[in-house]
Amino acid sequence: MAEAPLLRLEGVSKRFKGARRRAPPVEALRGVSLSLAPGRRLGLVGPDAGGKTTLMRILAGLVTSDAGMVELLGAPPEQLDRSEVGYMPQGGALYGELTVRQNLELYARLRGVEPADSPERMEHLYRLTGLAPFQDRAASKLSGGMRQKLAMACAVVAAPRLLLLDEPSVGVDPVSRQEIWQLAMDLSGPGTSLVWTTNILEDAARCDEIVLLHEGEIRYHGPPQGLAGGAEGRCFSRQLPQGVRRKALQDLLLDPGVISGRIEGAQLHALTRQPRIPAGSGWKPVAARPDEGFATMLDDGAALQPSALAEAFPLRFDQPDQPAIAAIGLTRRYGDFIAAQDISFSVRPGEIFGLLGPNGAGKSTTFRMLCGLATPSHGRGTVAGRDLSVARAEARQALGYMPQKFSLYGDLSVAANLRFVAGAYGLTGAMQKAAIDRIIAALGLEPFLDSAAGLLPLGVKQRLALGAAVLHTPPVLFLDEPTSGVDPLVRREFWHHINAIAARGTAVLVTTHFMDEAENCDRVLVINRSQTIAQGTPDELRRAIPGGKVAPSLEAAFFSLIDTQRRALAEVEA
Amino acid sequence: MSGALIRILAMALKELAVVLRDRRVMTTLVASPVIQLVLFGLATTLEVKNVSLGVVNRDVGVASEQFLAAVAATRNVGEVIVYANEKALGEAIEQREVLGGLILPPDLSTRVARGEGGEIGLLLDGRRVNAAQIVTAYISEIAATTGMALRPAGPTPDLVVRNWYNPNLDYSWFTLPGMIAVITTVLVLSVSVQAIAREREFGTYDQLMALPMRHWEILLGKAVPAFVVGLFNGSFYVVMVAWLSDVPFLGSYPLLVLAIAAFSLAVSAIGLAISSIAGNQQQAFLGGFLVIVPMILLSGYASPIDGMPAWLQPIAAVDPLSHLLAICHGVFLKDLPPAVIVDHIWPMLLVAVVALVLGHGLLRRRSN
Repeated sequence: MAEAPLLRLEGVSKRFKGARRRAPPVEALRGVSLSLAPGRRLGLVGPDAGGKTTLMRILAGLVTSDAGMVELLGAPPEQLDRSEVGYMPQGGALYGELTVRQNLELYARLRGVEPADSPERMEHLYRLTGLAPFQDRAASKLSGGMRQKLAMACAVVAAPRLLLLDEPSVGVDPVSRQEIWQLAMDLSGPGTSLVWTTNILEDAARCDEIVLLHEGEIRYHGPPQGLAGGAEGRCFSRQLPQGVRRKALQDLLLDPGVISGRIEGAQLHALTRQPRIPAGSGWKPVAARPDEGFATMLDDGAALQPSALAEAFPLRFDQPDQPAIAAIGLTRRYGDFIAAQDISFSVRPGEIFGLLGPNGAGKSTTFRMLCGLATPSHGRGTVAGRDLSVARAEARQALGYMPQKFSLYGDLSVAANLRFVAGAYGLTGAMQKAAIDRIIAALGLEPFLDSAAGLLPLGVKQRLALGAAVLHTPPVLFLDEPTSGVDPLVRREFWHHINAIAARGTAVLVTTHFMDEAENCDRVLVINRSQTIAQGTPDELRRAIPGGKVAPSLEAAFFSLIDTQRRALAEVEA
Repeated sequence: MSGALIRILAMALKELAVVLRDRRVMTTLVASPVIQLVLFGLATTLEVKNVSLGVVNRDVGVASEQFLAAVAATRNVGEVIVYANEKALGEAIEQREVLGGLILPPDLSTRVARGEGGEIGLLLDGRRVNAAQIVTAYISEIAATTGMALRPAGPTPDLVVRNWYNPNLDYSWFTLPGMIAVITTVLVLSVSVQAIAREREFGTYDQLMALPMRHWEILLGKAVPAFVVGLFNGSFYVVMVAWLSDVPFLGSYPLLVLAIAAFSLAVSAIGLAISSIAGNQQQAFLGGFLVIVPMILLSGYASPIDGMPAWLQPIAAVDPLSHLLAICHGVFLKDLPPAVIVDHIWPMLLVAVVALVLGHGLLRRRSN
């Protein structure tokens, strides 16, 4: 190798004490060897609790390894010059009460850069991040995408040689995700190495090399396209039958020979365990994508069982025409700012309805008004026929809510959390016990019952949150980015449950940033700049773009619709 | 069981689990109050013992001799230092060598002998106002006794002082029962004030708001841990003080526990009202601090309520701590009649209701 590597790890291991007393220690990393040359970009992927964050912390010199050799910037970790490393921890490390400028200047000084002495560097950062107009806004008041950009700017303010970004694009919409990637490219110099952890394979696939970390071991290290190789010959697609899109996907996922499946446009895609065509007719082999290679490597061989979570839901098709959720001209103002303007839609029993839109577009506000967490300035919402403005508590009894951020009690055990939520829904005694046992069995929470909820891996936290939302088998389910930050197999499991629950006649309102999840919805509403810009089935949305064309993918349609609105608004202003 | 009751119970159990699961909280709730009770009980005495006094003596007669001997003999005065003149005494006070000084005029003995009554000058360090006042009282008493003994003729007036309920004016008899009330206040307030603020800070508030819980159910459920902590700790301290110290316990234990229950409810409600408007635990803590200091100052623990300006006294009357203090002192030192205890209990319950209604209003307003 011409140049000495920036990072060199040889046989690195790290174990942590078990969460429970007498529990075996957790082996976070087992014999990891890795090196990264200057100027290379490394995508670090792997399931939750696979060791990604531990590895990042070792690379940042924050954690010492138990065994093996670590060399950072050509020296042992204890001699590391920290101003040479830009580390952005998961979720960023911003001070919410401080303004954008105060945060950035604080981090500049902490890294030995006096902002007053290098105005052009600060100017450069403001320009690239697009944060110049928001310099005096408190960091906690920024949208998710802007917050991540600010966190990244804080990490790179001293132009480090090594950039470590832990999940920089989690919970961020597709538009901002592209911008964040571009920002990372713009901010890193030609000799800067980059490590980027993510669960979104599309992001990782943009890197020069991918490392897949699973159960503390490196399972794959090589070019992104090589990851797809593992799934070659096992990817098939066929024409979706009209009208039964979700049913077809559900049946496919229950096939024991199938690892995962997805809907893309009018096509149903399948990934199989063996290089064999799945059951049914019309399957054609297609090229594998890196994320399918990823799924193949994570696959534990266990076939999905029919969702036990859904079986407890009563069938609710007695009033198919009465909307289970209705938004009627929902508007919310905060002072002069209109967060949501005249949003109307309705969701029928058994329907999955998706809310799509960039961060800060008004999606969450609309969502919160319908769960009774915010009061509309105008308009009204009903849930299961109950008006939220007059019968708020009754409406809440009829809905299950899974918030975007984990909001159960971190200090309490999984069991105590479930007991509390069950009690809050009025379940006691034998009924409570039955409901909790059902959730524990259906979501595999048994090993975690006594663990504090705050210490669980993200995927388990999300499962607990879903379990808490469906304890009382509500007729209406609200899911706010339920799969944000979880690995592909947990996502598959989640959608398997959601589809099965909807099939019982439950109305599901879901927000998501993943277009393949939006494809799984019956109908979708796109919000941008507080307004509805499109509403319809995924197919209708693809045809809704200007110029009479059909967008090749839902993502393309999404970008096109947002761009159309932006241009229309610009014309009005001009 | 009705739905509301199930929900309140679920909330109460969850809150108790949160409080009990944290080991640090447990230490704060059990170990530190016991230490505080012992420390404060011993340290917060208003007695003045072993102070040094200066003397400028220009009298050579029997009056000064006897008076100074009496002064030196009391356990309140440690050392009597003789100074040549007022200037030297003044410097000694300035340097804090002595708390004050006595100036005995040359004609003291002569005047006393003639039956005219003598005059003694007392200089005191006004920077130490509390101790100075107490020393004044001691010295006046000694001067009176000495003067009485030296009166040449005539019957001495028969003045006998008897302090009811605390015959030896033992200060710990006042402070220890009072400490029970004060420490219970601190504990209950510090538990309750965090209850809602913690949910806001940890981001669990949204999930809570999406559950079918009414605001008043949340408040009542959250009042339970602070109430239990207050009731348990308060009753426990009473046992400890009655058992381990020499403070007599003459009244009814069940009635005192009942009073502690009413008090814990009132203070929990005040804490929850503060917690309803606090955005995070730090704000809640500061808000609690803002309330607890006036509560203690107005309660009569530090200074008697009778001494406060007239406009301040009605405010002291709504301070639940003033009522618990009255009950505590009454039940320990004399057998306070049940009717009087009830008279002190209902104002505390009234405060509880008002604070809960206020907290409910604030919680509702903040969640919209």
